[in-house]
Amino acid sequence: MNGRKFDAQVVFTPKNSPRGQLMQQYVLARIVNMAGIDIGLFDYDRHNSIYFFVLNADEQIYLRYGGRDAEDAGTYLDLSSIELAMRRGLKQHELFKAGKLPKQPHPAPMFPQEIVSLKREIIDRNRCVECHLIGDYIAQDQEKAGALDKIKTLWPSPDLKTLGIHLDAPKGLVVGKTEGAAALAGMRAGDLITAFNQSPVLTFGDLQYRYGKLSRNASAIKLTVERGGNERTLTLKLPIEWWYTDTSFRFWTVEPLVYFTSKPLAPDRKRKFGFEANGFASEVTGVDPLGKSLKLHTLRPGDIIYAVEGMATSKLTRNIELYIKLTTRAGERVKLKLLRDGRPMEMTLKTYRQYFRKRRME
Amino acid sequence: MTQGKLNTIKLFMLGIVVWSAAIFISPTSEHRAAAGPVTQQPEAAQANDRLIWLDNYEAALNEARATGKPIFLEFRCWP
Repeated sequence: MNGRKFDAQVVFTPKNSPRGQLMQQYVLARIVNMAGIDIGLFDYDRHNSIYFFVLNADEQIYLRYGGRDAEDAGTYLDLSSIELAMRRGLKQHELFKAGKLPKQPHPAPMFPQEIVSLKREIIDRNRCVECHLIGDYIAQDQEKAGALDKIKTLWPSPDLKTLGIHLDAPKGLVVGKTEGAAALAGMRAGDLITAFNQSPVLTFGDLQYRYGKLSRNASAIKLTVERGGNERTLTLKLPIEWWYTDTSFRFWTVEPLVYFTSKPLAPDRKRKFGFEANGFASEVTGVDPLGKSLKLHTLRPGDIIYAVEGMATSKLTRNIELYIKLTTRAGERVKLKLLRDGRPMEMTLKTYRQYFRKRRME
Repeated sequence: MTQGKLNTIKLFMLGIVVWSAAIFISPTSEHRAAAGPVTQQPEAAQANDRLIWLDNYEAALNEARATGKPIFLEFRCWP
């Protein structure tokens, strides 16, 4: 459901409706400005314009509700599943009060004013500290300091669909359809996901959050599902680039820009040229004229790039453009090995910074 | 048509225009929710069957301590 509509339907829930009666068992709070909020405690992908937490007065978080995919901010927003989450939150609260839930350590506090560029650009100018600004300025400061973990920071929310898990969104974590890695691991439609790598998950928000925290070098995950009253744990082998999603809805462009496009060679062509099956040999499909005018490279469509700085393969990606973006800082040069008209040659490509957060970074 | 009747019709037409403009400009409840704070005085909420939403996190913690209720906390990026 569209985020604005969802927000309105939740906020203006009639008090005496079934959902309203459920909500009256909570203290309801709605925050529209992140200034003064402990973002260390309330950690989530800041490009969700709507996100919920259920917690208690001791700041023990019981669950999260929210999360999105690259296609649509509303894929997982649903009035039935939020009611389900509220019921689960109340149950967790009862367990906590009965001493049956372990107390979680409080994460290190962090406040928006500690983010140097955010403070300078937004807080000191009395502007609203919007959620996405926190993520944007953290990334910007990290990049300036040369400490940006691109894969984890710029792709913070991997998509479950990459694993072949299609949830029946109104039912929360009930699986609607499986394919790919999930189907191979034995997951079935109707399974209820209850834990991610042994940590309990109560909502899609919980699951996506934990999945997002996974090391990008991980090769498998364990998902526990409930089926027919029994729990079983399935091991899903992660496909290459499992963390990759379209970032166009975010406020950033992943730097550096390379000014060419390419397409990985088909397996038979890799064999023909003697390239590794898992290597990132790719054919250049397009060259941005700006790259030529800025004298960044002299690639031509049809060139086959098979190594970057001597590397012909990577555990992270088979996409050569992505490999350069992940391993190079804007402005650095990289040596490419390529075939042009069947003849090997080397070329230096200068990467380039155009903008960050959709504007030039000073 | 007499001048009096003409004035009455003019006044009526003007009324319709003003009323239409008021309807057009007035935000719907959905728009109001999307636009930001919806906190209201408890008495007002009671009166119109609306839930009470606090817009201050510390106040929510205090309320949770006082009532023993858990907190349902929404972060809504403006707008």
